[in-house]
Amino acid sequence: MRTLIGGLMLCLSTAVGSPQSPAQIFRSGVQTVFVDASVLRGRSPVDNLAVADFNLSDNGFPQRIDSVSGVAIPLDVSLVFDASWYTLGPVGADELRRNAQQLAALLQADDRLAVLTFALDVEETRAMSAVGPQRPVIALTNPTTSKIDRRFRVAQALLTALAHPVSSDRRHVVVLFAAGRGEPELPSLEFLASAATRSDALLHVVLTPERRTFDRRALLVNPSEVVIREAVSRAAEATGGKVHLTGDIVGAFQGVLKEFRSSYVLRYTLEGVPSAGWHDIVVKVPSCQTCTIRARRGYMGR
Amino acid sequence: MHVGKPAGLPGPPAVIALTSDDHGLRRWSRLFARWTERRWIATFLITCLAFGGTPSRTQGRPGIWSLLDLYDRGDHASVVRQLNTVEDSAGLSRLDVELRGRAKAWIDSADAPARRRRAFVAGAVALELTHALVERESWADDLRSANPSALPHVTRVIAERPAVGDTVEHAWTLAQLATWQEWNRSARVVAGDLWITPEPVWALLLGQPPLFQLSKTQLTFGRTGFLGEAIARFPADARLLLAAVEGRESIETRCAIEYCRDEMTPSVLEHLRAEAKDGRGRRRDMAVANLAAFERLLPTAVRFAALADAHPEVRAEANVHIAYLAIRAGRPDAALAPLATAAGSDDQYVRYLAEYFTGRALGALGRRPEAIAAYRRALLIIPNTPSATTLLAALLLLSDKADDRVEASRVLLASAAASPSPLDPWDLYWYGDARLWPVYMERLREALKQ
Repeated sequence: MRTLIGGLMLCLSTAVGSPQSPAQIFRSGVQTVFVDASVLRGRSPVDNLAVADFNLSDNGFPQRIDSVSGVAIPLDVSLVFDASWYTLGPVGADELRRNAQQLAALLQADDRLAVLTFALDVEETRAMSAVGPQRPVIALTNPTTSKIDRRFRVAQALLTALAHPVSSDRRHVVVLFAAGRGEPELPSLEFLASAATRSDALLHVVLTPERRTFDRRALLVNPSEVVIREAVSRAAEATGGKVHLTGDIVGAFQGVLKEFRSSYVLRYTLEGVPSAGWHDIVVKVPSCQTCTIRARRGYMGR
Repeated sequence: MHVGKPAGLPGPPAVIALTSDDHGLRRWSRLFARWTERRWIATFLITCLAFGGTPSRTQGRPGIWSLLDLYDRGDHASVVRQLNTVEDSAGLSRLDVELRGRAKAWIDSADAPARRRRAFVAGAVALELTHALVERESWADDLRSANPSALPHVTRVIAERPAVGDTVEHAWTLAQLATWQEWNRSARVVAGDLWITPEPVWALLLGQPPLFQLSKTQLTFGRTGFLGEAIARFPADARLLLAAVEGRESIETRCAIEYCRDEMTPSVLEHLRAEAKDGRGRRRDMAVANLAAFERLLPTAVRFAALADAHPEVRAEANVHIAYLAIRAGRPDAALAPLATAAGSDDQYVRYLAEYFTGRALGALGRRPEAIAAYRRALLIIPNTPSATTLLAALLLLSDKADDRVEASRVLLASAAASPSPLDPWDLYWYGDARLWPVYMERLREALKQ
C-alpha cells in the first residue's frame, strides 16, 4: 500500500510539478544572472535543449535567456552528518567513516568540500576547501549520546551549511545524511524551511533506514532527535532538492552529483525588475510537459 | 587503593575468599555437596556467591569506606578527585552499590551524637557519586547510571533520624533536588520503543503519576514524592515551591515528546481538533493528548503567577515560565510583559531565557527586526548558544540585506567552532535547579564542616 501511495505521489509530483518547477541559480555581476536547471524525463536527463526550449521569469517578469550551456561548473559541497549514537550505533560509526571517504572520492579536483557533523553539538570538521588531486581525508568524531532535544542541532547544522556564501562562478550543494524515523510533527522547525527558501544552495536529504537495536540504551536517548523527516523534507523541497530514502548513501550522492553535472546553465540579463532583494525564479520547458525541472526557487539580488 | 575497614566490623563472609580461586571454588563445592548430597545445588549456590560480588572488592577503585572517611574529615576535593579517576561508569556503579550496602554500618560505627551528621556525610557522598555517574555517561558504557542505588537508600537512613530542620538538612535537601533534576537528563521511561514520559524524575519528585519503571525509587519518597516531604520540612523555601510548580508544568503540559507540539498556533489547533474528531489510532491519541496538554497551559501559568506574587525571590524565573506557557498557548502577545520583567534579573540563566523567549514571541507576532534584536541580546549574555544562534540565523537568512546574510553565516560558524560549547539555558529549561548543583553542593560541603 505504501509503495502504491509512493508511486502515486511520484506521478503527481511529476505531472504537477514540471511546468512550474523552479531553477537553481547562481549569479555574476549585478545584472547578469546564471541559473542552472536539471531537466529529467523519469530519471534520465533530457539532452540537447536550447534557448528556445526554456521559459524563465524573474519575480514574475519574463526574461530573455541569452545562452544555455551544459558546461560543468565546479561545486561547493557541504556534507552534513548526523553523528549521534542513536543514529549510528557503534557499528554505524565505522560505516559512516567509510562512506564519508567514498563520498569525498566522488568529487572532482576543482570542487570544494565542507563537512559538518551534529550530535551533542554542531561541529565543522572540515571548512570549505578545495578537494585537490588527492582524496581528502574526512575525520569524523566518535558518535555521542544526546541527552537533550536535538532539534536545534539539526537545524543549526543545516543552516550553517545553507548560509555558506557562494561565489558567482560556483554552485553549492548541501547533502544531509540522517536517520529516517517517521511521525514527524515539529512545527517549531518551520523556520528551517522558510530559511531554506532564501539559501543559494540546493539541499538534498538522504534518510537512511533507522538502526533498530535491542540495546536498552537505544531506547533511553531522546527519540525526537531523529524526528526530523518532515522539517528537513520541506527544507529540501524549498531549495529544489529532494529526500532520498535509501540505505545506499554513496549511491544517493552519486545520483545527486550526476543530476547536477548534467544540468543546463541558463544565462540572462535581468530586465524589468529591481536587482536588489529576493528574486523568485520559475523555469519552464513548454515542449516537455512531463519533464521534471529540479532546482531552487530564487536568489538574493544585490 | 587501600580498602578502609574500621575495627570491630565483621569481615566479609568466608566464601568471598573463593572469588578468584577456581580450584578453591571446586573444593568448597565438593565439601558443600557432601553435606547437602546435592552437588549441583551446592555448585550453583557457591558460584552465585562467588561471582555475585561484594562491597569489599575494589579492583583498583577507591573503597567506599575510605571515601566516607575522607568526606567526613572535610577533604571533599580528594573524594571528587578519586571519583573522577574511576575508569568507567560501571566502576562508579559498583561504588554506588557498595555505598548502599555499607552506609548504615559506617554511620553507626560512630558515637550516637555524631550519627545524624554522619548520615548527611553519607548522603553527600551519594550525591557526589550520582553526579559523577550522570557526568560520566557515554555511549560506550551501559546505563547503570539510570538507576542510582545509594541515594534512595541513604535518604531513607536520614529520614530514620528525624530532627529539627537545620542548615545541613536544608543544604542536603536542595543538593538532592538538584541531583535528581540533573539525573533527569539521563533518565528516560520507555515502553516498547516509545518514550512515554519526557522527564520522568518530575514524577518521582512529585510522587505522581506512579511510574512502574521508577516504582522502587518512588516508594522511597512516599505518596507526596520528594518535594512533598521537602516542602513539609521547609515550607517557606521558594526554590522547593518553584520546583513543585515546574514539575507540574512538565508532567501536565507535555505528553510523550514524540507526539508533542511546542507551540499551539491557530492552524495547529485546528488540525489537532480535526484529528481528535475524525482521526484514528495513534494519530487520534496524539491529538487528544496534545489538546489535553493545551488546556492545561494557562492554568499552569496561573500557578506560576501565584508563586511570583508570593515569593519575589523566584519571580523572574516564574515569569519566564509564564511567558513560555503563553507562547505555547498561542498567546505570544501575553508573553512580552513578564519577559520584560525577567530580563532585569541578576541571574544570567534567567536573563538569557527572557531574551530568547522574547525573540520567539516577537517572531511569532511577525515583528522580525525586534525578534532579531532580542536574539542578539541573548547572545551577548551567553555567546554561541545553539538556541538563539539558530533562530537568529534563520531570521537573518530571510532578510533582504546582504549584511544580514553575512552575519547569519558568521554566527552559525562561530557557534559550531565554540569550544567548549556553552551551556545553553534552553537545553536546561526542563531540568529545574540542575544548573545549581555546584552551588548547592558547595553549600552542603560547607554546612558539613561546621
